[in-house]
Amino acid sequence: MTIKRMRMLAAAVAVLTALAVALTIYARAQAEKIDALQNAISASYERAFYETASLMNGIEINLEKAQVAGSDAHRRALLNEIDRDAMSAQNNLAALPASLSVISEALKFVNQTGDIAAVLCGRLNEGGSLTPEDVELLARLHGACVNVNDLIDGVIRDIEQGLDPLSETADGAPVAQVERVKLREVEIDYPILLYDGPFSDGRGETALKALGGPEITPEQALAAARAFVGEDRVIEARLAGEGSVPAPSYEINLSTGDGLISLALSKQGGQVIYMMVEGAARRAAFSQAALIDMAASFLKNRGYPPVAVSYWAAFDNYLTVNFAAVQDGVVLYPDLIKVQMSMESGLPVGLEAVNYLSNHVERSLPEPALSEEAARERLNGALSVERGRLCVVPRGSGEALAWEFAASADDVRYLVYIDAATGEELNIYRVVEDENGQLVI
Amino acid sequence: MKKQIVLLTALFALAIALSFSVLFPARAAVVLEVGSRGANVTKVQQRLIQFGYLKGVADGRYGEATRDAVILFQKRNGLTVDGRVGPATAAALGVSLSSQASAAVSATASVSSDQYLLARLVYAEARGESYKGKVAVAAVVLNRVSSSSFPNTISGVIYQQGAFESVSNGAINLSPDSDSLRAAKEAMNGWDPTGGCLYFYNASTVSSGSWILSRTVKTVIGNHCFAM
Repeated sequence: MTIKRMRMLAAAVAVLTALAVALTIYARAQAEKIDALQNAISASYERAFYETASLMNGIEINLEKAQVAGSDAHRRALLNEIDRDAMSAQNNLAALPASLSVISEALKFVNQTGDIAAVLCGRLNEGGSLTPEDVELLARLHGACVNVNDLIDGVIRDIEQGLDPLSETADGAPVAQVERVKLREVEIDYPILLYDGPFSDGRGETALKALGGPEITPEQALAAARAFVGEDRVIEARLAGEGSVPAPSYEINLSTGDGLISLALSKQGGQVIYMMVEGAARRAAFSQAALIDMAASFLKNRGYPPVAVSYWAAFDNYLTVNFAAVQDGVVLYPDLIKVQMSMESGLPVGLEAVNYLSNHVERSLPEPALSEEAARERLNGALSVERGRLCVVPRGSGEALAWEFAASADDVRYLVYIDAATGEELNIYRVVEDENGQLVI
Repeated sequence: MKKQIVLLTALFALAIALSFSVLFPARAAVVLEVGSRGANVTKVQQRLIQFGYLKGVADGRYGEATRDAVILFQKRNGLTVDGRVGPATAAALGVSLSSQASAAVSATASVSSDQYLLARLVYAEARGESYKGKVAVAAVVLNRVSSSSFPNTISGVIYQQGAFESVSNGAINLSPDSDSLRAAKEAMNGWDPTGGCLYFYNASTVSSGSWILSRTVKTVIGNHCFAM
């Protein structure tokens, strides 16, 4: 009995030992894996950091050179390089493990520097020249860039002295090396007139130009929402809340046969800012052509100005149609209204009017300096033109009157825009058509 | 005594096994069913077409035709007939289902890789939210793309360090549902129920000292506060 018991004990000990050994080996292997991963991650952070540093150095030097460059051609090349380096620098910055608010400041500096370089380069491309203010702006950007690079150099020295810039603080957050870079100090004021590019600070706020009329009450908003969707479709209407963007608005939920339709109506004037549906269209019972017509007549019945179809796309049995307002036969591309139709019920379920509400005012349209014939002659000879028409297109911070030509080459269709004042080719879009709709890229 | 030792050993082994599975969980198996989309569905459809169970083209959308074909395949091959493609059915079809949706982006023409990535983020961050709440989360990503303070591409914004919790905890790798796909499309078409907001957070889970609370809240949709 005792021998038997001892044998069993020995067997149990053997099993436990084997398990303990297995566990140790397993833990070792895991620890090695974790080490390897940690090294790989550190390496990729350090790579991103070093690349940022070298790109920022390049930007600094080119900002300096651009101030003293003797020819516009050389200046263009330098500005181009700044723009390209800024693009790469922002990719690398975004990969750094610093806190979001800190990186945001750095990204903003880099994005705006690149953007300004692109704007100035564009001006030189169009035959313009840099003003003394432009050169002054380059000098200021250069000064800011020098400060940033000094701080980056400090971090690099830390790394070289064996300090780990990626170590973590007590609460587990990585010690952001860029945090020590006092980025807020390098923030500079951009003269708003000089710089109104896509990344300018002014773009954050949208004023809705097309809002007019008296302030409405919540009850009036509910009634307006019901009438907008169509009284007979509404099963129940409810005020869901109030929002403040982009303009003070009432948010309203309507339950309908097409699902729950949410709308935001501006308090001033009761205009629909957006409308969307939570539902599911199971099949396409209507053709795209019929739905586009129905969407256009919906807008007409709701008192919108005349519109022209610009493109459309179907997804999940909903068709989204993009319209632009038309004034005296001229298409106003900044004034976009999108209407979404259920392809099952053939009824409107969505609307997006922020662009329209931001831009739509009565334009004073000048006579085109360039005739359609003269503009057509500017087109690439390989294109055969189907039609031309006048339109207004967004241009920088403003607008330009342009001739739009629908043309094709080798069965590929394009829309080409020629500035009606200067004859400059502003843009080319390729028309892409498939069973889901027609888009331009 | 013998029993006790055997029991002890068994318990010990069980404990080790359990702690292993808790510490190192196996990846949840991918199951495709009606409503699923993406590269996995395309692979399954290609096999079904190849074997003559399905007619037409592999469009990456698991619809009723695909389900019927799967049911027929399961019946003929002695599999559990449920119309869904789990590990057993996938193995019988000779398809390996990837759990990393990013490994191969949907082959359908109507879902671009940007839309699919955005939909994955929407699903991971807002799957419990209303449709409007989903569009709002997608719109925040797109507002960041056009803001100077953030990267300039959808993938750049989504994968920015520390930007989204679902990227660090892996929830972003789940396959998005059709609502999330449509919400992503809607936001890309210009719908923005936040009116230009750059941040959102869940007021009930954010820690009271968080810097994000210093941002001005413009609107609240479901559990999310949207801020500039």
